[in-house]
Amino acid sequence: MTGRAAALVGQGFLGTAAPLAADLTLIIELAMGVALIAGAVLARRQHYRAHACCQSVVVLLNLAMIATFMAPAFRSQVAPRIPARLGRSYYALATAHAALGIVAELLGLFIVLAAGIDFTLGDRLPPRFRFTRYKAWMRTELALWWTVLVVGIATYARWYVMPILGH
Amino acid sequence: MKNKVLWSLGTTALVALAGVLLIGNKAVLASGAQNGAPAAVEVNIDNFSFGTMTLTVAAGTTVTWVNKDDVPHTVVSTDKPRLFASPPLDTDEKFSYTFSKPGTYAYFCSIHPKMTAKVVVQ
Repeated sequence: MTGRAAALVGQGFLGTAAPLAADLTLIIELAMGVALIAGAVLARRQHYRAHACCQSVVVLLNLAMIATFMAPAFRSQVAPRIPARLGRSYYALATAHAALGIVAELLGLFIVLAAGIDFTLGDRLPPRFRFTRYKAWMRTELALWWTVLVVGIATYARWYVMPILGH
Repeated sequence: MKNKVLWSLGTTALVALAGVLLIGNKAVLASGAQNGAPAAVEVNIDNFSFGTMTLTVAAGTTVTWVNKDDVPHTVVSTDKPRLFASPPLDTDEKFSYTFSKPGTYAYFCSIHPKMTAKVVVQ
């Protein structure tokens, strides 16, 4: 563990075996998952500007969380052991979470950029570059995001809860 | 004769009590360097704890930690700057450090910070 994450190796506050950084990550990611749903509700109520702000903040904050906490932990604890130990749930769950998470984050960034450019430039963009089928992309992203979140919760449980229950 | 038996029983009980207290505190005095040969001590990491909570060794002793759990652990000194810090150790992997100077060295697992222990170097 390096950088900012290294400063948060103290005990967590959820009563599991996790360090503070992992507990913070879990809580913030759960909050962001709920925020995305709240953002979808805003879109349904046609508050598009608030919707755009909410979803953009979540996607960008998640990028910071990945860079600060999750990627360093994955690089030091999981990456050196794969693919050799993918048969073990400890590594398999984390790898699945990372792979799906990268896709979800990249798709989120694409939607934020594409929708932002489309909103800003509008009619000045050639038709083939315009962002269409908003709902399909965003619903896919929301479903994928929550899938990643559920796999992330399973990873947390396997890493920090199950070992305690097992002993 | 009766007194002799009572004395023997009492002495045995005291020795047993001292042993139980020592093991209860998980304090272990490891043999130091003898006959000039460097000493080595092994600490098992098992059940989310370091096998020996307080390990006492002589200066020059090499302590080797072995992870017996099915999840990775690290061995990281509490002092800053870090005196020693292992990479994540998977099952049956080892990490060694030689304690050359007397003192008390606290350490923990950075993945599971509730796991703490210390080495006392005499």
